[in-house]
Amino acid sequence: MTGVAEKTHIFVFTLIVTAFFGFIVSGMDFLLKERKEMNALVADQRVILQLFGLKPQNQEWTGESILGTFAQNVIVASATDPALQTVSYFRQKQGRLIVFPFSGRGFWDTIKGYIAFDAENRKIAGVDFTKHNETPGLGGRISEQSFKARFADRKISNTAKTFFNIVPEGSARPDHNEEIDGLTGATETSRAVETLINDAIRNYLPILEKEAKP
Amino acid sequence: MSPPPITGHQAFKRMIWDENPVFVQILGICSALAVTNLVKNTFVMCLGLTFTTAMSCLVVSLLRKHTPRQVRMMIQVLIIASFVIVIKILLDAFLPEISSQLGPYVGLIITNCIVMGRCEAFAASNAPWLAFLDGLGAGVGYSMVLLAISLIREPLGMGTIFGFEVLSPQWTRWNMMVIAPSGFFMLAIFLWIANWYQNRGLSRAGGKA
Repeated sequence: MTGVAEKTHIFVFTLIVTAFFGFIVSGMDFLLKERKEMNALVADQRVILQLFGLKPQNQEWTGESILGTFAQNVIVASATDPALQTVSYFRQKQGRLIVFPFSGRGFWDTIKGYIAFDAENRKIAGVDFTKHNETPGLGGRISEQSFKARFADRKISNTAKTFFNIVPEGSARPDHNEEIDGLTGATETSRAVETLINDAIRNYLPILEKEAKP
Repeated sequence: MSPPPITGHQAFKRMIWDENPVFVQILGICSALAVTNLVKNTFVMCLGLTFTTAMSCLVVSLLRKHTPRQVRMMIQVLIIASFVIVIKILLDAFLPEISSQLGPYVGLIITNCIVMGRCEAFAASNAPWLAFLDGLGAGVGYSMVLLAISLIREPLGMGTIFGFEVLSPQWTRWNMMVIAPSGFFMLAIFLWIANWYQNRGLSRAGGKA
């Protein structure tokens, strides 16, 4: 039977060791926080530049070249969406594409990304998923180029309430533009992405239509 | 079980081949399959695991005389988790692209059986220097296996090693080598060859050669 002295020793020891390692881990996180945030900003700007089809001058994707190219070529604009929230979005200085951020519930955790629209032709130009916690190898495959490419160059219908349907992989009919192949083995993630994309379009369409006017 | 090692040199050396954590102790298999499709990712993973195992074993050993028996495993996990989180923070800050490519696998080092296995089986009851060398050896033994597998998977699957093209573009890429099942096959083949090599004296001699 453990006596009081022994129990106290266990408690105090555990407390001290936990506090010590907790302090080290939090300390490192605190010290490197700014750097980590800068990396996240550069990663996001890179995604936006790629959605616009822009490249840094010297073709090298370094932190500096990304920040520079973004500052030179992209305007940050803002507008109000139907839910009366202020939305920040991105326009090219020269070019017709507009990039919006989106965020919504995935299967496990929030999915965040950017969606590029061609306002004049009323199309999705491209999509990228920057942050998600979906199952590696299954839902996680939404980050793969082959999945993202399924959203590129898709006309947005004028009349439908649901703009796109994600269907079982391989069953999207070629003459049905609103059908997009999902991912085998990732039904819930595919459903979540369908909801996300449709919601984003519905939300940003008024802003898009305003931008499309010459 | 081999007799307890008396020198640091022995503690390190047996982990490389005779008691290799992957093909003899069959530990750390999940990560052996997951990251070996690219040599670069494998290399970073191996560095991460070797660092974690060596350092965790060292700290566990330093605290072994004061750690109450009832909480020793919780303390081990705490120490291992702290080191892995520090590695993740450093990767996120200085090598963000590698960090996002490795994704959840860095965090999964915490659950890698090799780290906990060595802490509990050796570090908890041996001197710090020995524990450190044992952990280091386990990491190196693990790295050897993983690098061997990745040096086959990446060239065959993508025609590159460390991103540099080594096979001409005309070579048809074996897509199988890029996805997980090939990890299973490569590891099984490795295990087969390694065990055959280790035991080849047995049937002839009727005992350990």
